[in-house]
Amino acid sequence: MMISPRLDKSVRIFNWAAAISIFIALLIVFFYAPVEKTMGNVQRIFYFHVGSAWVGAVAFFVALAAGILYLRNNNRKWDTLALASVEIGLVFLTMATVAGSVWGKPAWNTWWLWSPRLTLITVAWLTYAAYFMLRGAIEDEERRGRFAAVYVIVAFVTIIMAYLSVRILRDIHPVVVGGTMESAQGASEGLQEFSGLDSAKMGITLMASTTAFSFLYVAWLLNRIRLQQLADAVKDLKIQVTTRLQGEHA
Amino acid sequence: MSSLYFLTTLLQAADVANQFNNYLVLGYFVMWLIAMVYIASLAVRQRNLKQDLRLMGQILEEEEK
Amino acid sequence: MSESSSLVGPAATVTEGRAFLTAVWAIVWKDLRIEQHTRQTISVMVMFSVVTVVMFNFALEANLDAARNVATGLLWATILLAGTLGLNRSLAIERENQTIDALLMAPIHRNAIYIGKVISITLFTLALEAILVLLFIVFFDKPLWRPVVLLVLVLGTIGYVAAGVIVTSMTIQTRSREVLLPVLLLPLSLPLVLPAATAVATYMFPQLPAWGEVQSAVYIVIIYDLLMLTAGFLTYHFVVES
Repeated sequence: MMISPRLDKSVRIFNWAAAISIFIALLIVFFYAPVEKTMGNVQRIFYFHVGSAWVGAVAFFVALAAGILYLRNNNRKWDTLALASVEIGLVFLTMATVAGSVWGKPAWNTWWLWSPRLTLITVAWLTYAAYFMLRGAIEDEERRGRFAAVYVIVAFVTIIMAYLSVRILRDIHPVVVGGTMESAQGASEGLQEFSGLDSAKMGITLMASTTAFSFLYVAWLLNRIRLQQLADAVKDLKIQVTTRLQGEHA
Repeated sequence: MSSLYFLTTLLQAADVANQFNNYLVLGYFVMWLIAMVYIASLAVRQRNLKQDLRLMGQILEEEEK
Repeated sequence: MSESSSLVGPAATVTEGRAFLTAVWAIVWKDLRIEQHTRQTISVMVMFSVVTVVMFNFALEANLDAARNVATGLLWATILLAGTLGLNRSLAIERENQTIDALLMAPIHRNAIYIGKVISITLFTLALEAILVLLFIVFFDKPLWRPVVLLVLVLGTIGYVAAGVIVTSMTIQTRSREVLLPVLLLPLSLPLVLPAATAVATYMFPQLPAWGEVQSAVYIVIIYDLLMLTAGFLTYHFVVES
């Protein structure tokens, strides 16, 4: 399987798109978004924190879809997509968690606490990190793809639970969308109700951040897929080389 | 004189908006750092693979002869 | 996937359903009979658990209050770890004796094997938990006999084993086998264990708490159970085909 020039072009395009959109998003976050009443400027972390968390969840969902598709028709490209998506999702999740932790220090006066959502996010992180251990333990390519696909489907349950828990259990982590149950309202720290223009500005900033991360996701995804194709090509060549050399000395 | 003016302006800016609050900067910095580490890992892996590819290509060429 | 049936419509579904349940029951019964004769799975689990409880109790002897406070956590940790032993043993037996191949060749639905294994391993784990609960009541003086506690233990075990059967079926086919199972299963089961442990812990105080306090935790456990059973149902087929 050789690298297609179309992939190369897409990679280039999205690399630029990602870089530019991240830069613009940063400008918007720091200079356009309004100052938040209770927390002040530190609240600006929110935009990239939510952006990366949201796109991270999307990445894991894409991996889930790729897993299902792989089980359907056994095409290698779905396995590659799942692998790339999980890897990038993990990076985004790490970014979101660390940023959240840094925000937590001024907001809750602690770098970390084992609230339901934070605990479940850590669990999700561990679950997806273990994905690579599973892959590493299987030699056979077909079986590896199959088991990885099954695992990625089962593992998504942890993401569902993490995002569900905040709506049901009492948690210090703020709920941005939904969260009408009284227990979720207990977590109003970190975000205040805004009226009119300010909340619109926040909405726009959030959209800018999410868009930027989406471009970043696609850019990294294409890069990682291309990398995997390269790895596959090398592996094929290695097999060729070894058989050739063995043939010589037979 | 001018340096004093500059300093007061700076302090005023820091006072008024605290636009670049320490934690804020730290937060964005670590996110950037993590991103850089990942990009670096992609780059390193790519370079190694390209090297392997070249090496394999060379070996096969030599075998041809 | 579906066995040939000369009937159509609802009658066919009922027949298929009955065949499915028969297969499930056959597998459960088989496992129980094997266990009755060999006692492999239960004995390993019980042995491990007793040793663990004694060790914990001994290690925390100096600080009895601390011991009592962490009892719930210890209980669940022991169940999780003993559970991995049980899962490994029960599914490894199938592989060793190649009964899994026989099962796969038999004209039964793949998922019947899945449900059957989940039920039988859940029963083994529940038997183990009964012993654990007794030990914990004795050693840690905690009111684990309360009905809600038992309910949470049962529900939690079902979810854990549902996830466990899928993951174990995969890991026993890998190079690392037993070593890999805890790494994969433990994080995966935490969204279940954490609310379950919270619910149990709420009942460890002398006065009975209101149902409203543990309601959400129990709901989360139930949701997890349903999600995992569904995921297992949909994917088991792909895990066992050779």
